Amino acid sequence: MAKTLSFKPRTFSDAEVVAGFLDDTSIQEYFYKKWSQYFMDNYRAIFFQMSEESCRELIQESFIVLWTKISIKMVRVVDGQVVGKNDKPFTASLTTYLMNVAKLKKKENLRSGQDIILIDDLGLPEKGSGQLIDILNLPGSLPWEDAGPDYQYEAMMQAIGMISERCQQILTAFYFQEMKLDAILSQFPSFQSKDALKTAKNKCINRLRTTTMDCYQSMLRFA
Amino acid sequence: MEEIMINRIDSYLLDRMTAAERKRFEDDLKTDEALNRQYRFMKMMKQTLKERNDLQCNMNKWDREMQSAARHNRKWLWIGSAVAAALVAVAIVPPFFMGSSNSPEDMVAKSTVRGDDICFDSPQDHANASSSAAGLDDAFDMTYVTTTCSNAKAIKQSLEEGDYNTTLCQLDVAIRASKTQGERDSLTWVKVEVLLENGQVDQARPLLQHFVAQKGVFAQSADSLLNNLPKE
Repeated sequence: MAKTLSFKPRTFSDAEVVAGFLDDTSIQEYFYKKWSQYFMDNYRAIFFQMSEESCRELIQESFIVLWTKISIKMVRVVDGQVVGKNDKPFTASLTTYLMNVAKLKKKENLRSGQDIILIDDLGLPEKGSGQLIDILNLPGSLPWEDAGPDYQYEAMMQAIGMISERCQQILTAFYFQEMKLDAILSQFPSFQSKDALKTAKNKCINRLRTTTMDCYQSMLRFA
Repeated sequence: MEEIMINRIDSYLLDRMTAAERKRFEDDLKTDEALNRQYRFMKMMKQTLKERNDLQCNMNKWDREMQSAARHNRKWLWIGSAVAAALVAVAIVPPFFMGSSNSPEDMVAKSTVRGDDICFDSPQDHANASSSAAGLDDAFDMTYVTTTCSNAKAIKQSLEEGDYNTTLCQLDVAIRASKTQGERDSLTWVKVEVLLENGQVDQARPLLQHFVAQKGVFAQSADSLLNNLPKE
């Protein structure tokens, strides 16, 4: 009897997604599309009215959170099971986890932007987070320079998403696209001179540094 | 003082130093703790920005694919509905108008029918004719891209390599980041050119229709192009 070919697209379990996430773009693509569809089918029950642009931003920001957590191995696979911090197994699916992440991101966006909400392994807010962090008075905090690269990376990845879009654009133009000052000036006509642009860029770096430190200290506080 | 330090680190990270300056900078890194700290932070910032932007680019590409698939499904739904409606109309409307002496050709003067003077034989001819009929050069007009776009270098490179899928992704990022309607329109026009060059006529069509509806700078060119595209 002849074999029949199946034309159904390949699906992956949550453990397979996490295990292959960083190495295989097709798995990233599969899960991104699955997460997008899940969000669009279910967001109205949680967020009520939201523009398509806001939906897309939330989908992408949540996906970046997952990508970061997998990169620094805070979400990984152990014995075929997805686990989080302290090897605690996930009790919800990845899409449920991401939906909680999206909810918290939305709340973060609605606030002043100074409150940082940490996300635990179930995608729920860490106890006590969402409050302003007073870096100077934190007892026994581990200096940034002594922190592991994973903590530093996660803090910075989160911080980049929290600074203003204008700062993101300026820093991206300088350091990712490596554009010259003249080219960047034409993109931001509100700046009158190269010096003004340089000053703004340096302020953005300082703002990113402050935000990164806030995120980092929050991570330590609730570790 | 801090600004001088940041400028120096910028030059090093962006490879804008001479060999002697690089050597001096690397020596200073070993002895100047403040410089070292700032350098490590900015190096991580550069790397993180790159990874975030690469991921963003991929996500935009996947979003576009999903939108295209959704439009494709909607198109077949409309076609199916139209066919069903036509069948119903044929079945229930009695043949009162068959054999009428008033044929459609008598009612409309040939000179007012658009597209009547151009005939195409193959899909490639459609794409070629549409580009040449609208007077587009073989090379893309990079004026808009280099003057208004944030990632002009990357877009130009992918265009030169013929990697149009990447170009489209990069254009989407630039369009999203654009600050004025003029910039958006300019970049979208380049996107239309790339789509047509890549044979993606169905995706270019709604963009051209939008330009015509806007009645802006590109309305006339868009209208001309639309007339020469194959009918849906």
